Amino acid sequence: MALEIERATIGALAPLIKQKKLSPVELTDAYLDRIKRLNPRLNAYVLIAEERARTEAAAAEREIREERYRGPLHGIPFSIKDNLAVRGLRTAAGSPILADWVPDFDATAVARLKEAGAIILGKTNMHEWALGGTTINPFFGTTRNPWDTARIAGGSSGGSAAAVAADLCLGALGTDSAQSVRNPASMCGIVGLKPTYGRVSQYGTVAGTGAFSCNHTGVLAKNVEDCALILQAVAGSDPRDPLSAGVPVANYSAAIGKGLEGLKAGILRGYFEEFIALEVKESFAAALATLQSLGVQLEEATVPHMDLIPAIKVATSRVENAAAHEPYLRARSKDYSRQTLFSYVSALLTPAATYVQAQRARRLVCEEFDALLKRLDLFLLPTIPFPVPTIEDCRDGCVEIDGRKIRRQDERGGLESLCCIPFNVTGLPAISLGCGFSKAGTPIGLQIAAGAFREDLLFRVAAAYERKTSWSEAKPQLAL
Amino acid sequence: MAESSPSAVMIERVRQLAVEYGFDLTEGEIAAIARQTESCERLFRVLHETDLSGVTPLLRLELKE
Repeated sequence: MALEIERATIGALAPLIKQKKLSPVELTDAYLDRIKRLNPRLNAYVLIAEERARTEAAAAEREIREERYRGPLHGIPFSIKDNLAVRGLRTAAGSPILADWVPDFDATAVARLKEAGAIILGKTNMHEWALGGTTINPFFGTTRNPWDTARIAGGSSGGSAAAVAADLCLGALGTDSAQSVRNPASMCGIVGLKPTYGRVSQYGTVAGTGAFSCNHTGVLAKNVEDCALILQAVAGSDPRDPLSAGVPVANYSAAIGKGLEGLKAGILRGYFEEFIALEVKESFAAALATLQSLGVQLEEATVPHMDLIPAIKVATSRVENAAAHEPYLRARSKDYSRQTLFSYVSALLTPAATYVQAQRARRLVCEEFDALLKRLDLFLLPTIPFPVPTIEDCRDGCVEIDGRKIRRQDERGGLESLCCIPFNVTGLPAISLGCGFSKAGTPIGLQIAAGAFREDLLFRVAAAYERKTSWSEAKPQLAL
Repeated sequence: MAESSPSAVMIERVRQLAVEYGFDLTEGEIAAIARQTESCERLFRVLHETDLSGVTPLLRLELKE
């Protein structure tokens, strides 16, 4: 059958595969062909597992023919961020230090995707060691935004997001310790989910690609329905990850389609507001109005110690990252970019007392969020404070906000992460989905967060918003 | 705005670290790292100025349904 790859979603294709109207081999070939045509321009993939993907697709096809259909991800092509171990595929985490590392095991999330019958097309580009939000990688090249190749795709899971947005796969796995799934999802106009801390196992995530207490394995998808299907496959406790949660996994797809009447959402206020560009404010305001029209009750939400969050996040990340990198810093310091090396060297000088004090403040902030969640169901805020920056501006270390160029990075890290980090500090789940476009034609993201393990609620609200608007239907124009 | 000069104490701490770990850093790079470290210390000041007495440090995120 004729496949319109730009309109394809997992939700639409899975029934066709199940009914044997669509061949996983032909589907995989179509994606591999598209990757060959577009990846040289986008640099979304750093490794394409062509032969292996074809073998997996043939096995999927055989199983389905023999009436052994596994579920909605069976025969569906995926990409995996290059800091998640995939057995037999080089996993470099954006660094020459690991450029020869070929894991002999799968990350748990990858193993679960495979068990669900997914096809792994390859590994996607990322910021060096996931330490940044641009995916300008001096060793593996820059990933370009499919909406405007002069602009960044975001990061650190920039390759995963660009691959989904440009239809170089149907879904992707990424990781998020500060923004790294939601930021690129926002910049590339797709859906990105950072689940509750512990909801998805971190086993097999390369150590040092994000602070262990802030990091999450996340999902990037073309729409909310697909995101729910993917989370369903990868969520759940894992004996190999002592930080994974034993809370039962909900039926996420069942939450989609329910009404939003009576839900209470807090518009989160705080330190990030001074960086929110007018275009983002306007799109966010329109999104609030849409949610209100769907029955969501809105109010202002203020966390008393919100202003401590950047300091908590930076102190925590510096110490946990420095600990992970200590052996590499001793043996391979020349194999870091200078900027990354400076960050880790500086991190080695963070006092232990500061780390402990940050964990005290973190408990306080978590309790304050919990108190708000006694009367609120959701938090709403933009994903990124400003429209997608150009690669040139990022290389120059600046970003344009309402016509003013300001430094993109300060002691709090990249300014693009400021709206995302509250949910890495608290571990609460947050989803990003498109809510408009800038005058330059690049996507703007809406971020929705909820109480712990309420991914079902995120999908319910995000899907209702997605159906009410047409943002997810817009596609980047990429000549083949 | 011109960037402030890092303190001699911090420059010395970075220099010692460079010796200990074998980093090949120029004087300019040592100064840049020292500046970055002092900038973070200023960010962290708020953690030490907030009254957190009696608050147990969070040892792991204890999320419940």
